Amino acid sequence: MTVVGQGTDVESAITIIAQTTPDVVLLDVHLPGGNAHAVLTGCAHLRDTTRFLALSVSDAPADVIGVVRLGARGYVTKNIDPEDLADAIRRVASGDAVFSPHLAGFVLDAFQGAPAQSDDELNRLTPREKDVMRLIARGFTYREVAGELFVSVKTVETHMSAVLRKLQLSNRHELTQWAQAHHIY
Amino acid sequence: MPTSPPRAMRIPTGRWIGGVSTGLSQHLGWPLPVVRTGFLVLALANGFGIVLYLALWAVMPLRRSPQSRRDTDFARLIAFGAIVVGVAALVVGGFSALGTYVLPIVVLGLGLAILWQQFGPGGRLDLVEDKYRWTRSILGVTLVMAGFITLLVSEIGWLQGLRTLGVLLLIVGGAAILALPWILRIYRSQAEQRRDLIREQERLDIAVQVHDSVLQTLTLIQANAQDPAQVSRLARTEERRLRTWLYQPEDTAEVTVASAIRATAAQVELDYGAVVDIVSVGECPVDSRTDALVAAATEALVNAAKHAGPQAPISVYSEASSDSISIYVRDHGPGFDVDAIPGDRHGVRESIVGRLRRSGGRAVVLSSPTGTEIQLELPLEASSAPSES
Repeated sequence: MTVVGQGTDVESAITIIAQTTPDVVLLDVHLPGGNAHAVLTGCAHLRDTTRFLALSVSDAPADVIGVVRLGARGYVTKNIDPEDLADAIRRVASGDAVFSPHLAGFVLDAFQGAPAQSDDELNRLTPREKDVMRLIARGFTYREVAGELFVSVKTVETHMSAVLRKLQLSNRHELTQWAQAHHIY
Repeated sequence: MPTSPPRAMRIPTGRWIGGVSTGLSQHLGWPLPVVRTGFLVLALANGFGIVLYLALWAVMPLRRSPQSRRDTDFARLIAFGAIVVGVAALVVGGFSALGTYVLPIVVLGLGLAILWQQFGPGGRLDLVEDKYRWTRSILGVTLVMAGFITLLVSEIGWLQGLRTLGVLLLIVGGAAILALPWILRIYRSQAEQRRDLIREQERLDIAVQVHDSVLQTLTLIQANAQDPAQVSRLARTEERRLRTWLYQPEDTAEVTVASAIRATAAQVELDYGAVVDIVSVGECPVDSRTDALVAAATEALVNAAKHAGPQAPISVYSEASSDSISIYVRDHGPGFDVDAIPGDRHGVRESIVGRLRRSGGRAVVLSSPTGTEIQLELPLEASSAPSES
């Protein structure tokens, strides 16, 4: 794992990312001169080659959901262990999603409530995905989740990627309401 | 009789017209109904009472309170004066004067009073905030116009009256157009001032918060630099306080189970130097049964904090749905053998499992060398009433 660049604010971040095209960008949610949203929108054209892992001190819903909806592949908090952080970076690099317990909690909260029958599959979580999110929210590691559900770690990662996709693409009415209630948009 | 104040004042609270009666009653120590009846009787005596009333109004100052707006007083004077003049015209001129003079004057006076109240020096010029602002303004203007037109027409007849009115409208319209930019500028500057005030208030709030808590904590940390445990505790407390202030300002009252858990976790952190991470989904109001659940969770937290060691954080997950609420307390300590707890010792078996079972819930304790998880579940009745605690 090599660090190829470091940006200090929104402008320099976008420039350096465009120049160096890293595999993973570790992105702080609050930057001088703007926030992660600006960087994510500015680098939207690189979405296929570069993946973003959001990092923040806060667990505020606005920060968390906002960056995920804009394309971040995962979210970790700043008091994470260094080994866990390296692990998270590797996961994001290989295309998987990284959920902090708080993000999992928000997902469960946002997708709560019985959806209508005709609701698009994208707008609700399957029971299995809910189980995975619940275990993540309870503080289980991926390995522990796999052990608890008697599946492989790869299966857990697949479920989490699916949930991430739903979170990013869902146009569910309740999700918007929930986001408004939490002052996201 | 109590010592009278140096000067009689009109009292705005509880007054009917101008506060003369109330002020006089307080100054002389006479009961209020007596004073009012006195004025009424004198008024019938050839209007002497009215003259006396108005004279006293002119002489006695209004006792100001912070709430009273200065120019409602003047407005009331105008209104009252107009009514008096109207009535006088009626008395003097007989009933034929009713249509020609009395009514228009009274109407004019009322209109002026309303407008003065709105736009006079004491009133505020924020047209946006009071939704009756426009109604009152329009009413005032209409009354003034009606009174004025009637007076005018009765003097010089309809044709002349309308022509004069037309000319007047042109003049007034022109003046209004000229004055419009100036009025808009004043309005906008007021809005700007208000915004600046709000911003300044916000800044002061933040400054107070930073000064009171953060600066103090940083000072304490410097003073206690030799004691890492203390430093860690101070930092953790301040972090939590700042985080709550920034992101969960409504969390102060413990009306939901989630906020009760947060409060009790904060206390555990403080008492045992542990680190507790809380994730909550859904909301559930506190009532007597959830109290048992929260108490059991607190016990679980204390156990975790005591035995798990300071290395890994304790995770708490609470999930509330419409039919049940579950709390999971998980730590990464060395674990213990659940079955090996003697039955007569309190602790896990009694305070957690037993307490929850008595409330109709369920508690499961799972422990292994990699960690311990205590799962608490409480079914909720569909018709549970919100908190009484």
